[in-house]
Amino acid sequence: MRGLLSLAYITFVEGIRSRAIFGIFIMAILMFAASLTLTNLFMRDIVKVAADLSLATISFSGLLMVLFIGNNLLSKDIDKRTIYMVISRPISRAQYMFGKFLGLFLLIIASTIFLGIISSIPVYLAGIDYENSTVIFKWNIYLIAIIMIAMKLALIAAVTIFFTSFTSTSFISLVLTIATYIIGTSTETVRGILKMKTEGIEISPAIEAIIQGAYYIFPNLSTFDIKLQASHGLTLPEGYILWAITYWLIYTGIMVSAASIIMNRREFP
Amino acid sequence: MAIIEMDSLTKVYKKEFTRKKVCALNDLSLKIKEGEVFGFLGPNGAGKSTTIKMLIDLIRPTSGHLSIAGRKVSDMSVKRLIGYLPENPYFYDHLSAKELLKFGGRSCDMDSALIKSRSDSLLDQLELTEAMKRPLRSYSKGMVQRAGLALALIHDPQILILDEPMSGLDPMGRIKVFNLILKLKGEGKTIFFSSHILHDIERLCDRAAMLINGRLSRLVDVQKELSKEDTLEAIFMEEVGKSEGIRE
Amino acid sequence: MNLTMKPLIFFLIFLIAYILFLPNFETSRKTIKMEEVKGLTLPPAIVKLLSLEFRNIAADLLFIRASQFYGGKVETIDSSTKEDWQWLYRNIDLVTELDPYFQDPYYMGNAFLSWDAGMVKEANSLLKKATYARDWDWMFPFYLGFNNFYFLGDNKTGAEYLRIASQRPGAWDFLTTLAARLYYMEGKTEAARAFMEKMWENENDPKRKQFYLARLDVLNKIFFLEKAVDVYESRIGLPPGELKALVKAKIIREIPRDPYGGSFYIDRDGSIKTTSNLASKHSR
Repeated sequence: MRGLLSLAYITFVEGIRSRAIFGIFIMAILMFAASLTLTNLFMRDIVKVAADLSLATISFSGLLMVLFIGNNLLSKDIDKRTIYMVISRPISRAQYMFGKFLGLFLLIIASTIFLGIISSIPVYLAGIDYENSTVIFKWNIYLIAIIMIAMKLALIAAVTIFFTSFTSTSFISLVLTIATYIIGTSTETVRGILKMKTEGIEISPAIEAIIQGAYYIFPNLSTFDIKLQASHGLTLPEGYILWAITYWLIYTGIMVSAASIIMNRREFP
Repeated sequence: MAIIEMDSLTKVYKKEFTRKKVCALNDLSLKIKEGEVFGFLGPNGAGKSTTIKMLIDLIRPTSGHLSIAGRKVSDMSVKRLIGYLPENPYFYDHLSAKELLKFGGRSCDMDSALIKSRSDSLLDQLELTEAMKRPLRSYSKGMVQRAGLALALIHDPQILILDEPMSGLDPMGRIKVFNLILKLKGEGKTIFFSSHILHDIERLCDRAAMLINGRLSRLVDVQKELSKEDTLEAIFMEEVGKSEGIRE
Repeated sequence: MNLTMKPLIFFLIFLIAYILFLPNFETSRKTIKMEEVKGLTLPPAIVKLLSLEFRNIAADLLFIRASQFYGGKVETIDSSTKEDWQWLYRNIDLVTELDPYFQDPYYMGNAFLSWDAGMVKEANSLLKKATYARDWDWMFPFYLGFNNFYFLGDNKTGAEYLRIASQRPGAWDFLTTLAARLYYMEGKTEAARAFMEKMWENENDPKRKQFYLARLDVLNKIFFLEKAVDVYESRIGLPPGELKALVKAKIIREIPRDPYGGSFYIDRDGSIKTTSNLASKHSR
């Protein structure tokens, strides 16, 4: 257990010290600064636009972090054979996988907290200047939205872990993760479009089955996207958060344990 | 008593695309006694690293058995007994040697005070004290090699498995590592190491195995045989010559 | 030549070429942009898919794009064609499809489409969407009520929307009485004045505020003239044929000026109108 934790720790340290993370942070801070000027183009929903930009920035920079730094932290272990020094220790392969995930999870939490604090500045400033009875903004939902973004990022990290467990180069796992992200964010929309059943457009049952299948196989990342609700201070339906957490736990669990199974069989010549 | 046992180990790789089979190790049986320093030599691609990686459970044998201290190599308790130095080790870029050793100690359930005292003495012996807080990325090849050795030794293992421990070292470093291995030998550790440098094997090892084309070609009792016969180099050349003769 | 000089010379050649041709690149880009601006809007479903999880940002950016129309064309509103207005409507419809809670596009869409473009039906469809999505917000049913009453002359529907508005939190108290008054077709100009005054109060955008103020001014003048006509009728016993009669009868000193450059007149049905036709540009 201590081996797992110390592996998580060095993964975290390795990630936080990599230069790429500074680039991502600088980009995020620039975007927040840009939000201060961009909100001037709007009349009423200034807080909404500020919140939109802040949440999108957290999500986007977090995504870059998971895709590039996260993927690199995992693939490099195999590419550069750093994994030798871990596996030769009393750390099982399952512990290795879980430790790596935990390290990435810590990295995601730390950077989301950092970005979350910075992001709330433009939102706060936008709220000061402008008072309107029809504008609702609630900090608690904004906070939940940020937590949901962190959960989504952690889920993508788990997907990356799954892909790195059987791919031999970081590029392939990167491409697979990006594809999963794109499919995961759009399955719900695609399903919604299908349900509308536009006149004159026939959708073959085979395509419908494929889309239905994709919906169940790939993670439904829309679950964790409550940016719209957060920007408008809308309350979430009762039990929503609980189900989102359950979904997250199960899907992440499947990914990490599947990665452990594959890793157990894998050889490192 | 044999602490490492290999019983007709065979490893067959399949090439990634052609699926062509390549036999990296063929029917290797060896018994290494406790407290023995065992040298493993052979030309490149002879199967030395393959054997060592099987001992660490990085790869699994196609057939045959191997055990360490009577247990399977995948057993976590076995890993506690082993200190392993990979060939051309590579560690995390942004960690320092100190953090690396801390990780090594923690993973073996050592307490902080013990980790500190052992890492201080190891870093001192390997002359890394000055660089211990710098990220490993800034280390030279020899320094990384020495840091890897320190990591292999941090938990005071009974068995040392070293893959080319002398490669990448400058003459001074080589002497340092040489003396360290000698010291460990004095402490009664079992040391299994591969090397190209026949001279080192000659001076350090009790026994040595020569591996050619994945087969054990000769087992030399260094201390007894060499004094009567000629140098290890001569034996090595002879064995390589033989194998080439067979192939032709 | 010195070897280290070679790359420097190449660099300078490329740099000079870049600076020389920069205007050409720009004009070349402009030609392609002209084609693009002509009314291209993607269907909401496609934009939803393309924007992934950044739907809100897509809505914000598309709204900025739509409001460039406002910035660039508001001065030449008369020159905007039916296609321009359609484009604006489609864009705002798209934005509010991506983020149905977004206030600004509804406000802008309603203001332009109802007042300037005469597309009251389209404006109302946007307002209905807003009324439905922003179910806590009383402003949009209020506007919807106004549009029905003022532009469509449908006082019943107008009153119904005002009733919905009056039940939402924060609504002005006078909405209930206004709704009641609308039912009885009383004092159209007065009610319109009350509406306009409140819309002016509620507006933050200085340009829009100015816009409402000007219309309020015209309504005040029409109200003033209506009152004068009442006085004339009670004195003479007959409605005046033209506004000049009011000046002759010394009821008013002069006919007020329409800030839009038109002139006031008495319509056949006896109501006061202006040739600038502030409320019904589309009928021109």
